[in-house]
Amino acid sequence: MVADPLPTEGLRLYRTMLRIRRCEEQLVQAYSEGLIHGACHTYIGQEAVAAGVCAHLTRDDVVFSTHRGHGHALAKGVSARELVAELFGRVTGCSRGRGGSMHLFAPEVGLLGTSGIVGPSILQAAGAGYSFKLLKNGRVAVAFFGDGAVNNGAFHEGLNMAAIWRLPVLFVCENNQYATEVPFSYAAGNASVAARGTAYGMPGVAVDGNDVLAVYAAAAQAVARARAGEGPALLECLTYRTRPHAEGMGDFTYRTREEVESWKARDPLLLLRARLIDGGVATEAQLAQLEGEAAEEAAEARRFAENSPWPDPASATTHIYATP
Amino acid sequence: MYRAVLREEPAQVDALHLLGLVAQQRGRPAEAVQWISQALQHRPNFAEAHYNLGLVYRECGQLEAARACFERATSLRPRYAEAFYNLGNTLKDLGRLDEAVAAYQRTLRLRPKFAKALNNLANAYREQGRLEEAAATFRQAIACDPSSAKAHHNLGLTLRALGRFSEALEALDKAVALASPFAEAHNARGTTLQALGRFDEALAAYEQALAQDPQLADAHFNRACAWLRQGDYQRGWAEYEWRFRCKPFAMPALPGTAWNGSAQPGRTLLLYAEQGLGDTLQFVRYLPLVRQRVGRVILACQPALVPLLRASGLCQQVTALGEALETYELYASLLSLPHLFGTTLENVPAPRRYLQADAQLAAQWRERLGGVKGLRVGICWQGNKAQAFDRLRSFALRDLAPVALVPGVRLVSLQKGDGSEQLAGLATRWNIIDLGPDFDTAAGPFMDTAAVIEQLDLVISCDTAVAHLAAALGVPVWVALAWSADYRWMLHRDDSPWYPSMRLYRQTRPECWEDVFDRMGAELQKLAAEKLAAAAPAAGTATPAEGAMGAVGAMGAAAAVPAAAQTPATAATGAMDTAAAMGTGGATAGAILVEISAGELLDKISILEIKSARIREPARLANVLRELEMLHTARQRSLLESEPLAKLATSLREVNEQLWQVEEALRACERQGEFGAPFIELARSVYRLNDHRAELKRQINDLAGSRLREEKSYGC
Ligand SMILES: Cc1ncc(C[n+]2csc(CCOP(=O)(O)OP(=O)(O)O)c2C)c(N)n1
Repeated sequence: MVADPLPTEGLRLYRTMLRIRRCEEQLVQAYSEGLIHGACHTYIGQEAVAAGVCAHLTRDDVVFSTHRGHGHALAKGVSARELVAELFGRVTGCSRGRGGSMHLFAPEVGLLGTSGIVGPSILQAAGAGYSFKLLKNGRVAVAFFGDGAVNNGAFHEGLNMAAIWRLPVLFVCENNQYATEVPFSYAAGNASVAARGTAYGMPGVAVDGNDVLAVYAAAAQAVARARAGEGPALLECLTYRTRPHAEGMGDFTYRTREEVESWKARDPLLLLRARLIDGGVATEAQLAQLEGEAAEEAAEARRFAENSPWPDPASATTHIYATP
Repeated sequence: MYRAVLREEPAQVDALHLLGLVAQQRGRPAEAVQWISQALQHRPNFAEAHYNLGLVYRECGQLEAARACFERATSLRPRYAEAFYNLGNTLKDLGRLDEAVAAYQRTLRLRPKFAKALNNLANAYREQGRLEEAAATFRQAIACDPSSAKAHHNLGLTLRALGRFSEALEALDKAVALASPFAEAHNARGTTLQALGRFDEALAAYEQALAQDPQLADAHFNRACAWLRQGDYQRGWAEYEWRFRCKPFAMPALPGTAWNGSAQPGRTLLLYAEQGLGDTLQFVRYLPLVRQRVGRVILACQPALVPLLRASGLCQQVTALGEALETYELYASLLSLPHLFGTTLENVPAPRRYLQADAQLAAQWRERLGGVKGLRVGICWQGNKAQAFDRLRSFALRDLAPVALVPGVRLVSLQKGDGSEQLAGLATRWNIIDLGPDFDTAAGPFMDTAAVIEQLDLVISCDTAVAHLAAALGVPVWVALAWSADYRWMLHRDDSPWYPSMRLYRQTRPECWEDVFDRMGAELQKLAAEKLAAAAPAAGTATPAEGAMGAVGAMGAAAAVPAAAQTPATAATGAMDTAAAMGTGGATAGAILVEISAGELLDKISILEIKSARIREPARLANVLRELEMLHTARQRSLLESEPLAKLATSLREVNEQLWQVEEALRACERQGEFGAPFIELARSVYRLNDHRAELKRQINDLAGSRLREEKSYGC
């Protein structure tokens, strides 16, 4: 019934997901080589969410993200170079090499920050939405967060505030079913995140988070609604991370190999790829070319990062306090 | 002594120059020019001499010559701050604002703490409309010279113009603390307090201003508005006459005699409009009263209102302001009529309706809008942007979301000009009827607007001309009012003694429209449900003249029906209260909350809509409407609306309508004992339709991402 986004948006979405995937793979590799300091949470398996949501955002719209934020940064417009360089701790990174994996910041493209703390993106997006509402500038704020965030106080406060003030905010819960190693079904009295939307007075919609077209369609409505002043919405994207919680961590004490494999079979890139071919939207050759480009972009980003300078030690204390 | 030097050495440049300065100090500018020019003949690169010559020229008003001197001085000595400063002052007097700003900026780069340059730069910014920069620069000037009451006053005026009223008040408080008397600053404090909604303090500030300067016309005018706002019409309207001595309202002297309101049969009276279009629409109500006292009335009004008021028949002659007039003996301002007629709250002339749309246009629009079902609500969100406090009184179309989303409401845009660009994103989303670009062009401004308004059930407007027009036409109108509303809407009341069909919705917090439109939305929900019920039995029978009146009737009934329904419900089980509470978001003890799928919700809504169109008995109808309202609210809150969803909902409703007809036909067969082929065909169509219905519900669930899926056990 909904105008099928596959022919018009399919390739663009595929490209975004590919770029994320190839970058993440570079980062996984670099991490194993000891080139990345600090934690590194990859987004592999969840690419459809960032791609499907951010496709509706303009540069002026803003996004707040989590410890698992590489995909959001890329989808919002941070370059692969700036992302990889940031994880390498180089001065050419989006946060000048001071943030690392969990503190990506690029206000010029509307990435207002990822955070190692679970939950704040919800409140920050509500705050941004409030300011957009006061300024009447028609912008939209998006909070990405995991299932681990929805039983935090921030979720209650942020959603309620956004609902009563009808803020232009999109709350995107990426339910990948585990908060580190705790299954969501174990931690939640009500296993549906989407169902909580109604409780706060906003639409709550659950979509297959591995189906980028489904995410795209649901986000289209939620963003249009927010822009029209009709208020916030809650999107629950059911998805899965196929790598460990963070690089270097073990994986099979809390979940089984079989489970991971079954989700790999539903890889969002594979799903879309098949539809692009079946739908006659693209040929194998075209897709192979896109794939090659994405791989090269990621590899080039890594070379760029390795060749970039470290921050000057003398500048260690700058950017610590805001200058009035 | 200088002369002595010159006798010794006639070309002594310093002596010539200094003699020029002495001449200037003694008030002999011509002589000063001579001396200094001589000095310059001998030493053409003498920067100070050019500078001082510039000062002399400037003093005698020879601005061009002065400018040339200062420019010369600055080019000879590029770090000459005073010369740049005076160049700036001269350029400003010449009206060359941009260059003046550049000169001041140059001055300040050379000498950053130059208080006077800061002050003048800030004033220049203010004239350029660069208010943010002006405020920042006034603050710098104050930092250099904290005791300057004038700088604080200017800062206050700038911040007030920026709408930053709390900060403005701080600055003005300082201004009045630093200098006394300072009547203007007290007056500005008053208007700032007024904008903050602190009306009593505002009045006190005007009183203070007048104590210091009893002739300060602006303060009198402001006090008049304050009194009128309090409902003190006796003092207020008399004081309002002070406006003619205020700059914005000053009128050129008119020939003839000012009318004092007395009976002058046989004389011709010129009534002229002033201020906004809404003012004119509000006060033309006096015309029939005026005509009882004078022979003939000429109304000179804003060009935009000429066609409408000409057609109104309210007076013999209507012309546009500024056009040639026929002869008259007496004149008065339209806005002086309340004063001249001794209007008090008790005797406000308030006919239910004193303007009419052109009958022919009204008929055309009745036809064009004939197919528009549901509660027709005209909307207008943006007033004239040039008005001083427009930012406060106008709202964004987007703010209307709670109104736009009420099921059964159909919005009609009455917006013209500024603000209509906001329709672009929302017109299709909210299915707003846009009357097109030729609206109001053929017959003239407001002609189509008036004709359309007469076809509406209600108008929702900001405080602008459309609100006055709708009310003057006797059509129900809800006005969204700012926290600090115009004096005419008085205080705290939700009605107006001026307009019987008007309701006022006031902001409860400054600059926040949220709850204003939430309240309107809640009210509308009732009206729309009523209209739905009322329209069904009487569809298509309303006569043209009943259009507007029918709406008024519906509004009255809206309050009555739920009240009647309340009694049996509460008496029985309290279940009604539960339903009502759920409808508005809360859940009462005893309510059973169950998740349902989107398809199920829309199915149930369509069934209740069908019922509400068929059930007549008030108590049963009220039950249906209550549940319907509750489900509409749930839909609004829980579903992301989209065109495909709306289409599916319509199809579902059609299928359910068909099922209804089949059911009735089956019952008719049953009554007549006819179980032949027609009966069989009907019976078979039941499961076919139900399959279709299930399919639609499934599609709705897919679209909405519902977790619940209804499964069927047959047919698979
Ligand atoms: C406030 C807070 N509590 C606990 C943690 C430790 N922590 C880091 S990641 C994580 C799990 C987050 O799970 P989820 O939100 O589902 O995101 P996912 O890792 O699955 O993407 C936790 C509990 C934290 N960083 N911040």
